[in-house]
Amino acid sequence: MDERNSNYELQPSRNGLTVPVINGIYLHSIYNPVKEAEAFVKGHETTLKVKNCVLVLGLGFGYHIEEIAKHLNKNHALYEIIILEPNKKLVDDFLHTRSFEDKNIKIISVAKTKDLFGDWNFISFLMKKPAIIKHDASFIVEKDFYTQFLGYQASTKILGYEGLLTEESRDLVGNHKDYSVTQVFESIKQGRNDLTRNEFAMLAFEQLIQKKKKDLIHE
Amino acid sequence: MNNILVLSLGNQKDFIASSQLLASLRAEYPKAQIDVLTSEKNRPISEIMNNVTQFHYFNLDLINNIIENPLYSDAFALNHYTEVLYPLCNQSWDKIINYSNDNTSAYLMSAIKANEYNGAYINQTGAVQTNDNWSLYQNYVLSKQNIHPLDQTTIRNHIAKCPMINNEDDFFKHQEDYTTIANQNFMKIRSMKGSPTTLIVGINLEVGFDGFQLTPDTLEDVIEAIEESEDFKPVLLISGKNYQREIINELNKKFNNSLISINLDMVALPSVLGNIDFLVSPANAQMMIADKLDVRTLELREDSDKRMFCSTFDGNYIFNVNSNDSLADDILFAINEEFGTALPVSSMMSTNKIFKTVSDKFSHFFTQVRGDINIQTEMNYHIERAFFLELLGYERNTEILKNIRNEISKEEIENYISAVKADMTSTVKVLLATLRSLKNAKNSQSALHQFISYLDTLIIVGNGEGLISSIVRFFEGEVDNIYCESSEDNLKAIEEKLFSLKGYLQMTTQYMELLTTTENMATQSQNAIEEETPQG
Repeated sequence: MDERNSNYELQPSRNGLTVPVINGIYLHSIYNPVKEAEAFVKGHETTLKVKNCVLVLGLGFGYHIEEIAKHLNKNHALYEIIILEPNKKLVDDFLHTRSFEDKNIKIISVAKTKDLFGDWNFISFLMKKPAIIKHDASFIVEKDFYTQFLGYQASTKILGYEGLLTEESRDLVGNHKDYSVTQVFESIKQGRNDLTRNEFAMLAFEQLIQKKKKDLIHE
Repeated sequence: MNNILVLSLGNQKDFIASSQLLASLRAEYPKAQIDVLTSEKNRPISEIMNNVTQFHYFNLDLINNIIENPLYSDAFALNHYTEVLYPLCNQSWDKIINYSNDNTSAYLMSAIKANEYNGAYINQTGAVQTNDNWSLYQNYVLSKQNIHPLDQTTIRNHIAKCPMINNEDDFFKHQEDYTTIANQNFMKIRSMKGSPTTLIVGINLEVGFDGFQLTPDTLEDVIEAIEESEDFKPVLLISGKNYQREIINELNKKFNNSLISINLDMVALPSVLGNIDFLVSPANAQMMIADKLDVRTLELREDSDKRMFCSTFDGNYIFNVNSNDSLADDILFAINEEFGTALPVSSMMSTNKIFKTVSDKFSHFFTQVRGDINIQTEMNYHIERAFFLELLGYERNTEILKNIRNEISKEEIENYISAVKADMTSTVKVLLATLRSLKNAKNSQSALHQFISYLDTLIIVGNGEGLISSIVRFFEGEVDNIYCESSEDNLKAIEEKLFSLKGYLQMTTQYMELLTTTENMATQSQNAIEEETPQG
């Protein structure tokens, strides 16, 4: 058993539903988890009317998620929920015991936040600017993980994300791995002499970024 | 020619305009692969565009979201970029055309292999190079003008070395099923007025590229007049936006829910537009596509000193609107003029400037038909157009010079000529001084500084307005385009261009003579500058 689950158990609530207890913290109400979930989601009603994408920090045992899904289903034709839960055992127990019927809900369980930001599907989801809803009990239990997630900043140096580059992108940046993309632009311009096609392509990339900025000013 | 790549990373207006070049390329090279690199924002329009083998899209929003946000790794932006670009870089193209003439495309021209490069590109020193006079004209003369004497579409076809064709059927795709449904529906709409020949006036509620929008009052007045006539039926065109729905709701309240509105889906757009007899629309994508499909259009714009209109189809109207008070009357008047009808026009006292598109054997141009006309500006527009068309290889347009001579008062012509001559005199002085200093510059370093100083002074003339300034800007482009290994060769090349400039100024003298005399007399009196010029 890993350190995170050294003090882990599943207890039945008064109304017979399963409630995980980790390091003495109850992830849901021991009396009525569903009623608690309803009250929890009520506090996010306005957000759920506007946003159809939601990132939930903490799976718990899914009661609050089902309630969020109900609200989204009521307000939007299309919606998507992603749950971020680092505790794999909790996820496994949940999937064996209850699971979600709603296909719009997806659980992501990774141990390191860096792995999340290397996943293009997750990035695409973040680019939709989802509402972020924090499940307080889960957040307390996994405070380090979630704090790290919320404060994450990607490496600006190419070396820091070399593993994410496709073969073509590695070819494009060439031997500038110690640099950031902006530094690559400057380096090419300073050493301008017999530029290669790749270097011209890199400078075109710089212009493409500036072009968007110009377009925004124009709008 | 097996494969051609067109770089078209400009805005919607540019992208739609490129349909002209694409049709021309297809007519010239029927079996060639013609690919277009554009931005994701142009995807909906690309779906109805003909003549393209494959489109490639850069998603600028995606790239910038990633680059701007510290959460996301730049790797994803680079991956998207190379995913689109590398398949293009891995092909060897017979021809690559910088259509949009933007910085990104200029760099890409140097990044992608091709046998023939058309348009501006970036050279090893980071400077913009143009590889023909049309591209040079676009970058140095046209880009600094508010009024474009030569239309950009024509220029770009020349840059691509592809003659213009004007077969409107080739520009956009007509989906057969949509066309059948649209034809049936419009038949019903026409018969609502009791006649299958009822004319349909489309009124587009979409806002213009410049932000222009028809006011509720103008809409109400135009719709009322058309609705009450026996000849016409109005149809409101929308694209599903909330502000448009609100306008329609308000209008329907006033017209007892009798108005017909059509939600324009891009795929169905050519089929719908094919049924419109007259389209009143701000200058926007739908209007441009209608114009390309040879629909009679009325392009509405905010009044501005700029004259960069979207219309190209002969006879189409452009309104530079400075007052909404008389706009409804102006619109109804144009419809009457077009169809010989008698829609009620309450006043002819309009300050709006109204232009029409006209085509001659050279290209299309615009002529002002109503509103305050600045004769000097108009004269310069036509003379500059004729002048540069000749400079770029066309025969002299003597017809326009004759028309000016016959139609415009002697006093106005004299005013124009004296203004041009004043500009020319000061320019010739600097030109001659530059040429003299160039002779010395070949032998001494200090004289070289003096030569550069004269050259700078000469180039500053291009900052002004009018024919002479445009000529000097063209010369500036020629000088910027010089790329020699040695300073000696550079000086020699500059000297050649200075003599070219001298030639252009001589040609101007001929034009000025032709404004007052016949061609034969003008030819005899062109040598004034020649006699003063030191020989190279």
